[in-house]
Amino acid sequence: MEQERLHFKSRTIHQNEEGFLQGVKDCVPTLLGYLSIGFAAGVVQKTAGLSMAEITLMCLLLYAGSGQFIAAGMIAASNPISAIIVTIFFINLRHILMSAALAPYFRHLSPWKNMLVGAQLTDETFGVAINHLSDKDRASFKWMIGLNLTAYLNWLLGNLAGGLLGNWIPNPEAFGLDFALSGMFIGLLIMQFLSQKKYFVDVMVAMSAIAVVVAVSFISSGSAGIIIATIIASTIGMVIEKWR
Amino acid sequence: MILSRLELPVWAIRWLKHIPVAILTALIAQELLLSDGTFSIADNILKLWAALPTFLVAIFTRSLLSTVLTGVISMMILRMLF
Repeated sequence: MEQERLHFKSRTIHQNEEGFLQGVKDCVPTLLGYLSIGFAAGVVQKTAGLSMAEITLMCLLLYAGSGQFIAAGMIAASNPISAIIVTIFFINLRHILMSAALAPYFRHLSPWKNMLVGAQLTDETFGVAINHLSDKDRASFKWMIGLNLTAYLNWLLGNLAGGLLGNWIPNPEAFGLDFALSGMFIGLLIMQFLSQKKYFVDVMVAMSAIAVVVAVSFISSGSAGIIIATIIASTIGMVIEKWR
Repeated sequence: MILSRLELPVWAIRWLKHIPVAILTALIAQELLLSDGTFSIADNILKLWAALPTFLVAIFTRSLLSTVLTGVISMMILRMLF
């Protein structure tokens, strides 16, 4: 009986498993963001003196929005490579937290598949995935690959377009393109708020995160604020939930 | 890769559930309140104004695409005016 039920359960999960194309479709709302930020990144990297081949490698190997902006800035200011690597490492430490939050949904996959999923994770695909998975107990590998790969290729496309057209658009800020990143984060945050429906705790977590980011900015000018704010604010959320 | 192998205690799962809101808010706060790593409302006033319609559109349409478009267009208009 128990076995029968388990069997039935595993079959329904299998039937509901979403395919690659659904992942591609779920990535579409973020594409404008990738293209516009990628475009801006392409322009900045081109101005910093990187060739098209170098921009392509940055996209494929580094694949980090903030990381590429910072790398371009630091290369232009002729910083040593070690300093660039350390800075980008700390800025992208948040990926540990994002991967940790997604990990429970990917338990059923092999370590190699999980490494592939994790290595391609971005702020945006994380946002899409965590919203999408909030009412499910496990993620589909094909769906996640569809989502990640679409984002990856569009990022490259945006960067290349920016690199090629960069010479004609000296000031991408005039077109509001620099706000695309903030706009995307705002959209993802609101979706998260509306799907969780735990407004009190969420507002408290959000306020703590803002307070910590601002507080840390007075002490250090690095990007440690994001990590510290995330850890403190999540802890506050956990405590409030337990205490209520 | 390693984390997905472990069976997590309840408190840890609760903690992880708050990460999305915490991290996204922290990223937004960094974008909208800090410039060059230091806190300044005056330096970011245009971004803060652009954030207002962006938040409203996000709440009422629940569409990521409309939200990003609203943000970019608001920012463009604000830069043209000021």
